[in-house]
Amino acid sequence: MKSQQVPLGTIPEGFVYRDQSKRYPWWVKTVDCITTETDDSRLSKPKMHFLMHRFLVEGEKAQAAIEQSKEVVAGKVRDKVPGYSVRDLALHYAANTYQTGTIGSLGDPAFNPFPGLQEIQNTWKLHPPQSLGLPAWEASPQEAAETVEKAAVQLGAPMIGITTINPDWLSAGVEISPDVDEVTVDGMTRILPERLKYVISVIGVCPPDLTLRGQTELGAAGDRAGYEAFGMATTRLLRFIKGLGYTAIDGISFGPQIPHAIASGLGELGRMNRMINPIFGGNVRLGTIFTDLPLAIDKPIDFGLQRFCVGCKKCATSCPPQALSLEDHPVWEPFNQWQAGGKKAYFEDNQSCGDFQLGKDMYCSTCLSVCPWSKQDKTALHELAHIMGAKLPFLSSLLTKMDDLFGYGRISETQKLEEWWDLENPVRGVDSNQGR
Amino acid sequence: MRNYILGLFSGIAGTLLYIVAPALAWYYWVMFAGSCLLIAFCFDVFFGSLQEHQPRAAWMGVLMFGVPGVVMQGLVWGLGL
Repeated sequence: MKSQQVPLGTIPEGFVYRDQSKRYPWWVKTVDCITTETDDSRLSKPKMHFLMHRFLVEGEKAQAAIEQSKEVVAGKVRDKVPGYSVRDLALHYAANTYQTGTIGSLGDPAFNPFPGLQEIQNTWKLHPPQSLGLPAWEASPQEAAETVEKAAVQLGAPMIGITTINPDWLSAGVEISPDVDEVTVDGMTRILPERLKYVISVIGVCPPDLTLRGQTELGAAGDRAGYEAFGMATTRLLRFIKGLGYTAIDGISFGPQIPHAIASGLGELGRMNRMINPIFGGNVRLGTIFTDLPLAIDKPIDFGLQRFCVGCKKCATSCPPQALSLEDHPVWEPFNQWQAGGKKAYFEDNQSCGDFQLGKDMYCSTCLSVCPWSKQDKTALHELAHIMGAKLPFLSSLLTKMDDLFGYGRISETQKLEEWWDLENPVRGVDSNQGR
Repeated sequence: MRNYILGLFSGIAGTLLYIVAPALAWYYWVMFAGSCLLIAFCFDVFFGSLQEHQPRAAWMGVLMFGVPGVVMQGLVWGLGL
């Protein structure tokens, strides 16, 4: 079975590619097809994300678990469990302030606890040129793409990718139509206007020193910081594109973020069934924008991850509820009804993953933080390891053993957990110059 | 700055070696160059890992790259002269 071209099928006519030469280091190849094998005949879409199911359908159970979590956390603070001090808790809740796109979201209409707030965010003090009697900004697709990336970095996203919208990668109940001019709700169906054909994937990076302290309130602060980072950058970028005189909408509630992000060359699908970026590894969270601003699009990438993940398995062996696949090779069959078929992947037991975190008031992030690609770039050793991983991926099990030998992995020792408060870290805990 | 100092020391050591033993066999020069690279890499791993707050990785770098580098320097200066 051959990988299909991206977007699935053929690249629609009329799109041009952005210059990819300066995007990544030399060991990251640009390719025409995503490295995940796909098969149209196996395509299936879950009716909803299992987290949505849990909160919308099993709402009382979830609410009870959230209430229970307060007692659990208070008990851990009283028992002086490492990573559960009052200041750790405070950091977690503060890191969650501007989060969008997940439960308690400002960005997802399905979960939005503050109706209207997102609208205020997206329109307040925003004056598109048309409202000033000026024409919309115009540029070639290449210049527009470079301009959007330059603005994105300024507005808080260390990296973006651009691709075209793929209807197969949208949620069930989302359709695209040339007959509507704005997002339209028709019963249980949401209809996107066809002109919003460009997709901008936005990366938010989780601070590694926090996510390595996963399964605690400190780790939760790191995980939430990643969500907040892409949420803030996405909202700002939406406003920037609107300020140029074009339409832009937050794509977070219209489908999973990962397929478009992979198609736009931000990474490859890894064993944790999440995207791995060659620079920030698994320590990333993703946002999506749909726009009608004509942009040059990016190509997918290949840095040997498909072969690397076969031998590594570090995320799966580190997963506390053993929710990640330890299979030797990816499979076609989704693990359960909440996952989309049509791709060959290491499907995870997402319910076990969710259950492990529910009622504990913490976010795990262990898999993404221990991934050998989730390294900072302060030593050439990591650059060398990345080159070996990309060019000699069959050595992945050896590289993973070295990774363990050097002591990389989740930090759980009492003293080291609380040492975080004494570390010198960059603003928001992430060196946004990494890989540049 | 660290790299400049390491380069300076390597240059001084190489010059000194040439002055002391101008007819040194070629494989000693290969060992000398290799050991300089290992020691430089050891410094990079040590200080870089400390910056990344990974002390165990820092000391593993000393063990895996620094120690062989120093042993090779010892062989060059001990056996080559």
